[in-house]
Amino acid sequence: MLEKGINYMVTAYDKREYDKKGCRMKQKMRKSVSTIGRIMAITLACVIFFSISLLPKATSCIGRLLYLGITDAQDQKIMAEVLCTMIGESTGTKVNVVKFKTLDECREEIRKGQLDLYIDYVCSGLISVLNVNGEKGQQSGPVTIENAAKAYSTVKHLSDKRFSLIWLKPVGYDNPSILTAPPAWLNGIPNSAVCVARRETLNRFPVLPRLINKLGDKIPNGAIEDLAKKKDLKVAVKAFLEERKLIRWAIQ
Amino acid sequence: MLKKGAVILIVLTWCAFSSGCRKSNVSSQKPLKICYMICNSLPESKARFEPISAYLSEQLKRPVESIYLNTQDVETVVQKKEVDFTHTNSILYVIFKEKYGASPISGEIRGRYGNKDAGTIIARSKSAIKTLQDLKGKSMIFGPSLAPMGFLAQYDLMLKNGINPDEDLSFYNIPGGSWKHEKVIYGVLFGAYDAGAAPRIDLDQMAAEGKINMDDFTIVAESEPVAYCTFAAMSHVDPALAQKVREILLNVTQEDTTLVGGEVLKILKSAGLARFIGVKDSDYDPIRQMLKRCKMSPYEEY
Repeated sequence: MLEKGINYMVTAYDKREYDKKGCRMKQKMRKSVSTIGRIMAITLACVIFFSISLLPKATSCIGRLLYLGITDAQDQKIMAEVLCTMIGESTGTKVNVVKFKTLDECREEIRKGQLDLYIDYVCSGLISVLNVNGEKGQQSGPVTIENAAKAYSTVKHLSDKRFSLIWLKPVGYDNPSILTAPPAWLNGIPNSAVCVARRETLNRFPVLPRLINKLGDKIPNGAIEDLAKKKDLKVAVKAFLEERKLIRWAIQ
Repeated sequence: MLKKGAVILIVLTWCAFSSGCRKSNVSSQKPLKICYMICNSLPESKARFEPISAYLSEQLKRPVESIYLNTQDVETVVQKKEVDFTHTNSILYVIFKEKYGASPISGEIRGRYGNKDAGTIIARSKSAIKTLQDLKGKSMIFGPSLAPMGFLAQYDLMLKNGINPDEDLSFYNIPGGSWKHEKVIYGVLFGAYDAGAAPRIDLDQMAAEGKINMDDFTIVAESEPVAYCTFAAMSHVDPALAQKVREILLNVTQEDTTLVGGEVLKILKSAGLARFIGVKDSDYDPIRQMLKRCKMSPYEEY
């Protein structure tokens, strides 16, 4: 290809020269320019191919990164900011936020090990976990859920057992709107928001469950509503965490 | 003419690729893969451990490939059986033993406690913090959370003395980036935090290098010394090969040298070691007890 290009240039040059003078001298020049071009092409090819042969193996950059899945819901965006700020400032670990259209997509990705964390809700999560085994259809409900604590302990137990996903402490607010038609067996149970993490991730970052659990009951409905009104969410979340002594500047 | 050019290019291509192949054909044996947990930073770890790999390669007469990974990423390659040996801290060794059947090859003599080290909780000497109980309500900076002497030992020490770091401290942080243990020590020295969790060996080393003066610090508490850095063989490694590697390491002397990047280097001096030492799995029982008390992997409870 390279040689072809150079040949083309040489030919074009030669043609112009022939048109002008048509002398024998130019024939010699053509030959020498053509030879130079070929030498250049070959040299360049040598450089390229020897460079290829000496290239090191591609290495992936494995860093201290966590992947947090969220949906487009307002509370999820707020929680993403809360977790990114808290984890980043307290542990120096960067959190990458990955957006999904639905919570089911988040659940699917974390079960496949593509995410480290996501935000779920106790009742929605319980229904989702039970759906996996087709237990939803049971009229009387799969388990007896008397109260919110029972709903939480049930979803925590089942998620860990089935998917090695750990439900950390509920952060305080609930999201009833996400459950459009709650089943009768979950009537009256708050749909508390919880950060859910892969067991493997928590094992490798032992400080993570300790840190996230500090958010337990610290973000009530009112706080989510207030934060949602703020223009600069990043600044508002940082101030919110500082006021509650959940973060302080870290040495970087 | 184009045909000739094409032929030349094909020949050159073949030459180029065959030169690459020849390079690897020099040592046609499958490389032995050693995964080194990055200690303070990648350059520091490479400077310390490349001579070990080079020496093992010379002695075993086969290529040895070094793989450097962050602490929390080492388990991935162990799980996938992508490495044959690991050089890690004692927490990772215990995890690899319990979950993947790894065996200890050697420990290393380094610092005042030999192949062990202790975790210290430090405060400035002018601080009012003199006992563990004084830490209540104070801020603290820990090392990385998979560090036996920078997090586990101190966390355990506090729990054993009735202080829950997650509830009783005003807050605690872990610094980002490299050289975390030094950042902890400087964080306390310059008053950014009331107390810090530092490995004893790092305090000693920084004092020896003139970076700090120990008179500026109070050692509020110190854990029992427990096993620290460890070479381990993965379960798929031929026991005879593991034994051979153990023998080579245990026989390295201060005078032994190897060639790394055209430079002749002393193996032990480069690694900052007095020597390697034989270890057995039960040496790690104190670490196991700490991990159990702190509910950390491989004994985690959530």
